[in-house]
Amino acid sequence: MLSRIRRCLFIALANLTQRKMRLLVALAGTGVPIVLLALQIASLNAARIQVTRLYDDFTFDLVLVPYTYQFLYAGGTFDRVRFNQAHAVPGVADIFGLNVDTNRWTDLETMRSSSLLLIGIDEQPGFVRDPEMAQGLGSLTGTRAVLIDEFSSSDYGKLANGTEANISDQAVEIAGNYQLGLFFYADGSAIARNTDFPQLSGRDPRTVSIGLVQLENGADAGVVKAALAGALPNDVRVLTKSELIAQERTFFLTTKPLGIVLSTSMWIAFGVGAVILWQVLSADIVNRVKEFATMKAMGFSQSFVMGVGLAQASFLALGSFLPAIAIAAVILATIERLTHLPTALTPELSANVLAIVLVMCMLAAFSAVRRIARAAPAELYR
Amino acid sequence: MMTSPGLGIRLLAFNPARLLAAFAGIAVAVVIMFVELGLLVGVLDSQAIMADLVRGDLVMMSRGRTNLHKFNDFDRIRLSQIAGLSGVGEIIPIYQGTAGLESPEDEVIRRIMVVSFPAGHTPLAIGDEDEIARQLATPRTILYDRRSRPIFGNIVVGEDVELDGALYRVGGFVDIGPDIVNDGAVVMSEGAWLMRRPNARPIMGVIRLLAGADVAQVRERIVAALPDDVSVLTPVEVRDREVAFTLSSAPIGVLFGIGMLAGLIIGAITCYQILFNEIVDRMKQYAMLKAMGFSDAFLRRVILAQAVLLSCGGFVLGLGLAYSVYAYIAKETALAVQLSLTSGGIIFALAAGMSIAAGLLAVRRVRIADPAELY
Repeated sequence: MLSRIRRCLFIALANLTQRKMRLLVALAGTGVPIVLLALQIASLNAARIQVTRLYDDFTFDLVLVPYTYQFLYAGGTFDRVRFNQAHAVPGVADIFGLNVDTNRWTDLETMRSSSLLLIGIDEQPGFVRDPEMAQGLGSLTGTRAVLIDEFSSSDYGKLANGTEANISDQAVEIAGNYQLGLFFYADGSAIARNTDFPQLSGRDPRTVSIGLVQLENGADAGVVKAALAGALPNDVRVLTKSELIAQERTFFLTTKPLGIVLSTSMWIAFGVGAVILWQVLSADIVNRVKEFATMKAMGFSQSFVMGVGLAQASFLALGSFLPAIAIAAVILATIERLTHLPTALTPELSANVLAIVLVMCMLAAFSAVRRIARAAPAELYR
Repeated sequence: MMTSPGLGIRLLAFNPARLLAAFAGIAVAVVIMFVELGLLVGVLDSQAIMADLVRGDLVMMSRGRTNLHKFNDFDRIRLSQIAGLSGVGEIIPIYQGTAGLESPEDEVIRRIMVVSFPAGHTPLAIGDEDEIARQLATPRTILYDRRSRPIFGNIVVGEDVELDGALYRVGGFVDIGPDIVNDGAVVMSEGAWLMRRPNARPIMGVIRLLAGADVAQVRERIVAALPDDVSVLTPVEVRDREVAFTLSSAPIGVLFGIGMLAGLIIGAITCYQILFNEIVDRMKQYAMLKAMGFSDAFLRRVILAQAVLLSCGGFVLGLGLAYSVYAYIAKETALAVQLSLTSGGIIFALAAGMSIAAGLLAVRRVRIADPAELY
């Protein structure tokens, strides 16, 4: 059996390498859909990661959001007194207030204003997971001090510590920085303490946008969630961290135009990739239909001959995979450098692409080797 | 005697299944080019929508407002300062901001863009001028952008909606269209907006010239009369500047720009690939024709006819598919994604060009084909 498979692979390899030029053209053909798929999958994945990036910077188990909450940028607020009520629920260890507001940043040197996502956070270092943000939190001392997102638009001006700027016509001073890059929502972002946030945003200090809840060790998230939902009035909703992240991503991918555009182009890449693969592979097999028929006439079994066809398809897919992935990685790294979107091609994503390509290849090859099954040796020399 | 294009077509039509597969292959290449190009153009157009809507000869904006998605405003007095200059006819301020619109369906408050200008003047091409003037002159009346994304719920003319907690009557509809950030828009009169935001300053001033005035000359006079905290551009310049900004500086432009380049290259390679296979596989027939005495030039014409036929057929099929994809994206995102003659022309040229190039390359193989080697 094993030797049969080995022979099958050997013949496939010999078939492919018989004409070098033809092999190169076929490899280029299978490489194209791989590049296309890798680009689309990585872009979509980057967008998915990016939209929940702010939440990734914090450690929490459950989240309290106002009942009007749609996504980070359009939420609404609820009364902070809900925090006190939630504290009384068994299993709740601590709650962290996160505020978000759409605002304006003005660079004092050029007097350019840009849109700003102003983030307010409570001073509880235990919730901040991002090391730069945690370190920055310690340097937020004066009432005018803010941390600035290094990935903000270049119109934000100098982002060095000590630089002065305006947030909605109030003077602030940069006391530290972090990396976020939420450009889907605004030109940049800045973090202030929640004690200063109401002053900068003009919001009622008794309200808060989002409450992040940490549980006591051993508390069950599902049980506490149900208890919180029962204890709090229905102007707030309770979600687990994974529910929040899933909802945030779904909202972006199905409602925001960019998400729709990115997911549509990924499905199109699937379709286009499959058709191109089918074209290339079936051309490669059909060209040798005579040889396959001759093998059948020599007494090789149907499954053996079809196995050669499938092996040829797999070799082509595997052979073009590395160069194609390398090209895609270069393009994606360029996008990442220019946009700060995490589009870099990770080994995990590459493995996904490889799996998808192999499946598509097999489907395409199966439909092509049916020609071999139909090939009758007698018809060859008409 | 058979003409060369006629023979090319009959060769292709000999095996209809195979012809269909080749059409399909070129069609997908055309689709990927259309989709990537269409998305880029759609994003660029949507971001520059305000410039296209301006109904006037010149536009005044704060110097700091380097793109239409910045909110730098300027002193209203700048508009009064130029009112007396010769050639200047009408000057209309436009204000822009956001407010929370409560959906009549699920009562969720969502951010919506508010555009406002003085009642009786319509600086933007967003609907019937008289109707807009009449509606905005009525206190507490707003006009709703019918192209807003459906998330705001079913907004009905004649009913009240809540905007930042205050009730307004929906007087009618206008056509503006969302962009990547804004989901929708309402229009209200300057007076109504200043009542909400007493310190609001205009974000744009639309300047109309007197009949016969020269745009360049009047612009010079305006620029000379004002300090350099404002810039004065024609609507076309504003649009061009916006497109250049999105393409080069906005991350979204970079993302879709690279996507478009990749799409065009991939599409071109695929066309080439298909044509090349198509001809190499018929090598035997061509060698036979040569043996029968047909000239190389005749064979070249046969192959070119095939390239043109395949790219035309594939293009038409791909165009149909791309149209459905565009319709789907336009429906879901309300972005200005549409087929244009220019992008269609570029894509057809690429598809046909690559097919012909592949055909010509394959012709060289036919030229050296030796009939005797066939058997």
